[in-house]
Amino acid sequence: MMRVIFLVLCVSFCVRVAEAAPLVSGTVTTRNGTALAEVQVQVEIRNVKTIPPTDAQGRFQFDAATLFPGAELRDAGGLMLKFSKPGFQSANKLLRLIPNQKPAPVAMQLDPSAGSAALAPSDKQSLDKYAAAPGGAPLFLIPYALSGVAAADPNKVNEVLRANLERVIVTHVQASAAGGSAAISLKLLPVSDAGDIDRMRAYGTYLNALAVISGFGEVGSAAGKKGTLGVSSTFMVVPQGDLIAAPVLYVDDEFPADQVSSPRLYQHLSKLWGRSAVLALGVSELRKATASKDKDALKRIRKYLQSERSGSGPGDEALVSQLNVLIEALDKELGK
Amino acid sequence: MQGGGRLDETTDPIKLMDLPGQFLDKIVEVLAKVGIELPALVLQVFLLVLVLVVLFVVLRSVLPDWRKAKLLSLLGAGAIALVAVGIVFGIVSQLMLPNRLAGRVAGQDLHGLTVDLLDFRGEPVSTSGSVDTQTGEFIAYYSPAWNGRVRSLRISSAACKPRAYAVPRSRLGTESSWDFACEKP
Repeated sequence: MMRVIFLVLCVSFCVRVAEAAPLVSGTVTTRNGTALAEVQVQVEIRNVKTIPPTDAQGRFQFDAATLFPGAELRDAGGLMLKFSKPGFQSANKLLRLIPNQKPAPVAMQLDPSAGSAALAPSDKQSLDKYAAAPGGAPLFLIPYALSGVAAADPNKVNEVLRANLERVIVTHVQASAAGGSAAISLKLLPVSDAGDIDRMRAYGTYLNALAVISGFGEVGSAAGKKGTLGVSSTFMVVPQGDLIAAPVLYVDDEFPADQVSSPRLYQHLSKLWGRSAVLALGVSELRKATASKDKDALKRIRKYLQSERSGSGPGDEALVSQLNVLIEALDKELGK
Repeated sequence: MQGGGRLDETTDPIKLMDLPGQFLDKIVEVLAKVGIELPALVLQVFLLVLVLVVLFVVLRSVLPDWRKAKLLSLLGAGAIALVAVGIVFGIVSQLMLPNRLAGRVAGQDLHGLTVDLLDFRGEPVSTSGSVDTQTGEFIAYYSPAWNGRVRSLRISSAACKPRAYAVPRSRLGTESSWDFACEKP
């Protein structure tokens, strides 16, 4: 009889410990989906315990029963998970503990501290409706700072520029080998930081963008240039990877000032816009394919980047240089 | 559920049940002001022992023949017995307080925020207080037996002025929301 009672007590103790000892797992990524390795993860109830950092795929896992005494764990309402990594904003996640229920895997996203930290809370609030869903990668246009465009409303000019740039980019990406699966769009942001690289990066990172475009425009006043609108643009690729830093490209366009409101403006825009968008797509897809070790995807990316390189011409030197870096990285991944 | 500190603790008649506990809090507060700082439970038990000793002495003089005792002595003994019962009630009600305060901070930027539970002296007594940077949820643990009832909650951040909110006893078992707007120091 005593043995039976002892056995029942042991089983009931084991069940209680099992109930209160959840196995917690999860991944840490950037907003763009890049896995973050070596992220320090701490678990807090009454005390803080440190677990091994995330692996190369950004994964972490721990058994709460090995970190905290059973009584503390049973009494806890939840586990506060604290994530930190140099160069990124620290973030916390409260994982509620529900009896007899295994916690769902945690998906944590960290923002670069130099980027989104520069955005005020009010900025973030106004941008939230533009943020791309996970997996999405839109392009954003920060309104150009235009001078000498007195005849037309600068807001209207920016909207016309956006529509024409979108047409050039979408057409080129669809025509290239990269097209098909990519859902490209270009949205105008309600901000005014034209040409500020840090702010562009901050907006792009926060919005999970593929690229951010901005620049300056001026109606030419020099002899022979009168009546010509010169536009100097910055095309910032937002996704970053271990193999390639996010490139920044500069694109210059020139067109008759009386056509700044014309829907046919795209005829004057440089082909570099489309090629830059393909480069951005390549950086983004390379990162994902590398993480998932998808050789077919890597080959496909290599193919369309090579196609862009062979189609480039004079004035595309900066782009070609970036394409070369990317193709070399791909070759390395493919073991060529 | 917002701004727990705006509520008056004694407006609800049910909260009269809390009076012994509040009385004990006052005694702990007064003793702390004269330099006697011991865990709340130790002081309360000491006070209870003191009252029981006085009650014992009074009862010894009254009980042998309580019919002949003076009415004032009987009333005194009754009053001391009531105080003892009140102290016991206060200790029990304090021991029954939840050992944590869970809630949510509502603010625009939740990065770097921490929550501290403060005692009547304004000293932090909680052992944790990190805030979920997405939802603002937090769970702060403390020991009501040793630290007494939590009086206020302080939300602080490196870039903002800390802000404290009163925590009425009635709010200790609930999950309230606390507004926090960053004010530059």
